[in-house]
Amino acid sequence: MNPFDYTVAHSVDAAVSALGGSGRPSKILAGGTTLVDLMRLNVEQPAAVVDITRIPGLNHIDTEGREALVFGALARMSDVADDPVVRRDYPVLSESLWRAASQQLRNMASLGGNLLQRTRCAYFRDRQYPCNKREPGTGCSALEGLNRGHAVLGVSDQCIAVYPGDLAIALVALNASIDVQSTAGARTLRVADLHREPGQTPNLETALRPDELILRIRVPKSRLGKASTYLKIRDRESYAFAVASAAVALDMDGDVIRDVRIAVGGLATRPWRAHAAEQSLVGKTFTEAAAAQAGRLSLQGAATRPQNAFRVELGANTVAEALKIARERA
Amino acid sequence: MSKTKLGANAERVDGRDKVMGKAIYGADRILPHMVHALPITATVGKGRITSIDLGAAEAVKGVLVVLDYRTLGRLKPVVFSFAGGHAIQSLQPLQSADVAYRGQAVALVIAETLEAAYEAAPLVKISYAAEPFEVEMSAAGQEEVKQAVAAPYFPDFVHGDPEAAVAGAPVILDEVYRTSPQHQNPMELLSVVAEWDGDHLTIHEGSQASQAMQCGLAVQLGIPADNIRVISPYVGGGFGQRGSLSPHTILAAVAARKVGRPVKLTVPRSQVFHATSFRGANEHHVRIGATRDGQVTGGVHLVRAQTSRFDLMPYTGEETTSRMYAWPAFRGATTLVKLDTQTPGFMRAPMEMGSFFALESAMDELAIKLDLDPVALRLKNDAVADPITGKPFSSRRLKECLERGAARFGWDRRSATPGSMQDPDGVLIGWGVAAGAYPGYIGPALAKVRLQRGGKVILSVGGHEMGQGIRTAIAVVAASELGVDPETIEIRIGDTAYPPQHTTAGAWGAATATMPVRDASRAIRQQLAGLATKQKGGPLHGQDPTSLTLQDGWLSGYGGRQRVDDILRTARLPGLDGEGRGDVPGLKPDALKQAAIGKISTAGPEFPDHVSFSFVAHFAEVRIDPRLPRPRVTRFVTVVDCGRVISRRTAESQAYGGIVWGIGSALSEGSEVDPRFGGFLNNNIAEYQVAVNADVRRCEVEFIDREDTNFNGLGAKGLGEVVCVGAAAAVANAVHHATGRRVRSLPIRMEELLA
Repeated sequence: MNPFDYTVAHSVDAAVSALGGSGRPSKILAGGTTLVDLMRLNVEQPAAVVDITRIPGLNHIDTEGREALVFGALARMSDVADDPVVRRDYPVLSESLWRAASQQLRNMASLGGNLLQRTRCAYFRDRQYPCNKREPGTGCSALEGLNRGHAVLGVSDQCIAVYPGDLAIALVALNASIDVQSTAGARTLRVADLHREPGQTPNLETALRPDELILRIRVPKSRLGKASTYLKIRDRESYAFAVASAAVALDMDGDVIRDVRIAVGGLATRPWRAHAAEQSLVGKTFTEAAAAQAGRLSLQGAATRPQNAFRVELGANTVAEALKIARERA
Repeated sequence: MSKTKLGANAERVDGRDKVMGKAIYGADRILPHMVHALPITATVGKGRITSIDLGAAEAVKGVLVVLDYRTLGRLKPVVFSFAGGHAIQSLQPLQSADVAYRGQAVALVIAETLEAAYEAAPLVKISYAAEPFEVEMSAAGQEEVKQAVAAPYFPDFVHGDPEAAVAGAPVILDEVYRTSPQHQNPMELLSVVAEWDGDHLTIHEGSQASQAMQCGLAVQLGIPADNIRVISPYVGGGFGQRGSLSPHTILAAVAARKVGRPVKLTVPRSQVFHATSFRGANEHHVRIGATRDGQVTGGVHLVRAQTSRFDLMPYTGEETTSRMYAWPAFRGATTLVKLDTQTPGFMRAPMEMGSFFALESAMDELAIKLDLDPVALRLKNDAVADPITGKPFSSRRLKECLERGAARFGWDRRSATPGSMQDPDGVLIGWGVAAGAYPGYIGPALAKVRLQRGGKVILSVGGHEMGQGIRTAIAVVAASELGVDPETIEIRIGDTAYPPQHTTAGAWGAATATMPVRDASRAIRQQLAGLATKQKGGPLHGQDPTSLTLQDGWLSGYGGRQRVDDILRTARLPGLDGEGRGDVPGLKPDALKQAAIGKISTAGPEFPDHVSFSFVAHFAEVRIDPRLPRPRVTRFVTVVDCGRVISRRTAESQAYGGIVWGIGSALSEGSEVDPRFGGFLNNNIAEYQVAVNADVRRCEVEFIDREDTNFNGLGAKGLGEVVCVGAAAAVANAVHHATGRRVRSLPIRMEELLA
């Protein structure tokens, strides 16, 4: 770990000015579960770290509003996962949180930080291997390496690293947005627009400016929440990243699908909304065949490697199974 | 207090200390003026260091020095443990510019704080000239040696003409099975605190082999072993990782001497994957011939096992597979494949995890070929005498293990056709069986027990507490002899200041340590009785000394009793001392002397009049959603023949642990190798996946619990290893039963089971 300047910000303004002020690479410290881990590996080497955990009012969980659920960026994963309204009305959110990491990590990790969790690609996490994401131009070790766990959607010839988070998959399905602030002012963007595909610049992972701070997450209230689920398929039953996952929400009119949301995780370089799959279902009667077809459409355009080719079928089956679980909740 | 008896379900005597943080592990030591050391590891698969630039690293505030091969100083050659020495491998750290494998230590930062060491480490600039290397068994053109030729102490296991016996059989099973490399990953990281006082060195490190560590360090440093004390009262998980001297220990010792201050060195988890032994990859070619009614006619078990370029790590799994069934003819032979890694070594059920995955998968496949129930096939081929030597078994209750396990599991309700058992929602259910065995080993030990006035008992013996519960087992034995509460006994083990600390491994710990403890405790009881029956005017005067009982500080006889303290006071003795060595058939006369110089000197599995093995039967249930086919183990029944159970609670825990290890081996554990880079890629416990709580559902453990006094006086055989032998095969066989897919390589992952 390198030496770095450590600043405690007591307000949002102080945080963003600290982030923008120095002109040096700065990082926000919230739960620390990704940042500190990667700093210890010398993958993250910020010159300055701005601790935002003491900013008041950023850890609220507000489920009372008419329009949206609002979560402060510092709300803990475990607190949101256990919120009674979230559990009852938006199981997809609760499940995406408590199926992530371990209880200890969920007690530390913040919602805002979780959205920005970086990939688990082993070549990215160890400086002895070439990695275009960590050091642009050095090459991608995963393309011809051990890539069973790598992405099949949104890949490029520069990077196939998976976006590892779970919450963001659920948020993308629910059309969530985030409020962010920088020295240039405040803005709102869709979670779906937060993460970038690697393309030719895998080192650029999000649409955030370097001095932008996530303040809160807004999840529009919707009838879709109740009949929802986050299905996470992994090699062991807990404390593991997804081999494939699906966030699914349904709005049923009897047996007919009035509206549906599908996003997949563990399979793509960013949270992946499956619009074509959704369109195939809207207005149709729910059948197993329709769910299976939506599963296949969710993986449309997949580009595989020999070790990860199985994840196309697995991903499709995961979506179909998630649809069935959501249907039972409708 | 009620009397503690052998087999008692006693609480762990160290449980309270452990949960209160009072049990002190190696790196828990914080000594005055202590500094921190951090190894830096090679980033090429093989090659040579061409330049080292320490400038930036040594300029970091708090850094005392960075050592490399130019400055560490030459160590005296240490010998690999299986070549009769003390070390996990013969290659020593920081001795030349040569790099043998990725992850090898090449430099050592020593700093006032751990933070300074971590800051400096990436600033050490090392350039390499890379050389070609091989890290995969499957790569072409590796250097291979026949084990029986290259390491004649480890011969083939042969009798009869097995090739002909198999070839002439009406039914032949002929398959190859493979296992991945694995790493032990105990929770406690490899860590050491080294401290010099003049020319005397003290090492605090969790070890299964403190005497080997002491003597190996003495060799490396060229100083008398008496100048070194190794203190290892607790180990945060051994699993074979700490069975001999690892390279990091000498680095801490030399660093402490160089800087003249105590040095703490904790190997980071990411480095542990390259810092000491691991379970190498195996290939098992198994051929079995059988008659149509299921009698085996012969077996051939040919193994290719990974070793390093510089040591021959023997692979002896066929020692046990050759004894598992009544083979009329058998050949077991190993070829060692030299790869560019550190030397592989022990990991729980070191030879048997892979060899029994192979054999017991093959037996399952054979049963299907024969249209026989797999339990019935095993019962039919149970051996009466050892096929290799013709000697009887000291005890062999495999049949009872299988029968009791089958009854408890409900095996008779199994429908044999794969895929024929399902939940209402279509989830497939698979039931699998596998058996296992593990050689009965026993080692030398000397126990010293002191009973003080006031009732305090202090006991020292060779042994290491790594969570398996040896302290509790020892305490139960001593308590049963001396009539005291096991928790009040002070137990001194894992310390070279006490009697010889023979390596604790191979499931021989309890059998080795408890017999001498019993004898030493019994000697004290006899002395007490001798005193009391001779004390004129005492309540026990003139009674038969052998008729007296000792309980709660009272020696009692017919019509009277006397306080132990009174007996001692009358005799004007501060206390009594007892010594015990056990009486172990087959142990070499100089075994205790060998233990005192850090050598492994066990007897077994072949003894003068018998052979000795522990046995186990596993029954596993898996559930697999055919469309999302991650296998989940929903039930496990394990029945063990480990002779007499000494300490029930710790025995059950060991057995549960064996099941958990079997689940991990079967379904998730595997160290991944990228042949372009070398080393192990998934070097953390997020990506190297051991089973977690959620992977372990209902587990039931039963012990046959019948003493084997042919093996030792207490009748206890080994347990820690055998419980995990065959467990992975039971899961693999259950996966086949559920899905019809026969997966012949571990771990079994969902891609193997997709439609």
